[in-house]
Amino acid sequence: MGSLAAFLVFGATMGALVFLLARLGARARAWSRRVQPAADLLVLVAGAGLVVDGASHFLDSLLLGA
Amino acid sequence: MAAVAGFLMLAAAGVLMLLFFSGRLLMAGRLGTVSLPVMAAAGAVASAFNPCALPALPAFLARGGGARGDPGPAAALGAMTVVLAFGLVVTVLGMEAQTLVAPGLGWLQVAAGAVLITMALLHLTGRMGRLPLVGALVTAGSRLWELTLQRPTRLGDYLFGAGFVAVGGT
Repeated sequence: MGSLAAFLVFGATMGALVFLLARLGARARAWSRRVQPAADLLVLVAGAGLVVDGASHFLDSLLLGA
Repeated sequence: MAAVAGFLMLAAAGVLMLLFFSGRLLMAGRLGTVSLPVMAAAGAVASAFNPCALPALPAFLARGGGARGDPGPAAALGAMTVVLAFGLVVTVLGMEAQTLVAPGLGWLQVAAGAVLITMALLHLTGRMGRLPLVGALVTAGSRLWELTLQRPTRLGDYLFGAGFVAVGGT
């Protein structure tokens, strides 16, 4: 029961965060339409994010002793 | 401006929570079961900004809103659906799922890391679309993306919220 309640809290918090991100996205998109470098920057950030993500998986494997 | 400041504050809180969890400062046993909901809330903030969510964040910000007004409620509903579905599966399966996955997890992480960094290099050099099978998937995804931008719907907002959590949040 406790774990299900924790997932409910987790879901509600995640929902609230996604709600805020979606609202922010609506504003960011209007902004990036006017400023092309902003759109290019998002592509760059996505690539950098993948590198960080991949590196974090390698780090996890080291911690797990693979 | 307030939205950007809010996002930066959320990101800072997420990174702080990640540091707490990675340093094992927030452990259920240490804080007691009463604090489980607090841990769950802190974990949600951390997972929204974990490394797996980073590549999805720019897409989320670039997509923007739905057809009419606020995209927030539909996106939030999508996110909650995924978390609750995941929660139900984990609650039902319990520790058995963990013992099933644990033996190969280390090598799975190495493979995932290699695939992700290769994808990053292909993405940044613009070669992702030229690969035989992956290229077709990327082209199809780009067309779908354009379609949802031209004709945004509430269902699109819902699926995007669900996708963000499925890819990065869980």
